[in-house]
Amino acid sequence: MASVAAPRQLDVAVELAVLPDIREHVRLAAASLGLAGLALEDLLVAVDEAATNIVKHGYRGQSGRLNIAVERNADTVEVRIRDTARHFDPRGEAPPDLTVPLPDRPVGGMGIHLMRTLTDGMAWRPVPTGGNEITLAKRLVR
Amino acid sequence: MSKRLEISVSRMEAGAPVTVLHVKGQIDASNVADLETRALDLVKSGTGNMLIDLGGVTFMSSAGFRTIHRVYQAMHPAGAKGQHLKLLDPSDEVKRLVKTLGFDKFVGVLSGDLRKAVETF
Repeated sequence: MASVAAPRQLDVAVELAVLPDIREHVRLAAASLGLAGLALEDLLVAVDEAATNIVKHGYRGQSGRLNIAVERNADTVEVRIRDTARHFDPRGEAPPDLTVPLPDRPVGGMGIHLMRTLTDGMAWRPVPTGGNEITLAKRLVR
Repeated sequence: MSKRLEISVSRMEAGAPVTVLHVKGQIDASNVADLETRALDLVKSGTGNMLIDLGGVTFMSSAGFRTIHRVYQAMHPAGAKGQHLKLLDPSDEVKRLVKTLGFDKFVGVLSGDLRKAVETF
């Protein structure tokens, strides 16, 4: 279950069922920092994709926790997602070839592509004590 | 916590028979399986024209697009022609994702009246 560890921080058990809770937390926090409209919707999709990947491919069914922090940094809103799963750098994933017609295109591979294209920055670093930290940034619309 | 999607099916006809899937809720990896099973079962039972009414969908991740992709592929086995898959009333964000993901050349996007949408098949 969700628990608020600090302002704009959310700490949840790893399971797909918490995805709506994560989105709602980020929606409220990012909106309070000034993000609105489609920019906010973009960020919510990117965060959902990141969390889904961590649950499905990072923890691979193992239990664990996810920590989500939403912060303002100059003219961007940043969402930092920390896990304790095996190291995985999403920036290294090749984008899907979206010019291939749907009948011939392999299904999947869209999540990381959306994390990249719907944000103004995607950073990754290994957490020294184990795990990953992904930061997704979205510029405030002026 | 995750909520199941509300899914209902209706059949309409305005020239060509169309199966309409009405979906309500937030589509993500936690609940998309119901939609996929329902839609693929319809294709297996012969649905050649499908309209997915997304007017009640307030969020859709790539999980929803993966399902739409699988349904499209199931409707279009090699050499198949004449089947159509269209979306009705997606949100502005979903419309943007349809283009971003290169689905727009294959999956029609309609807005407004359901009856008129069915007439486009």
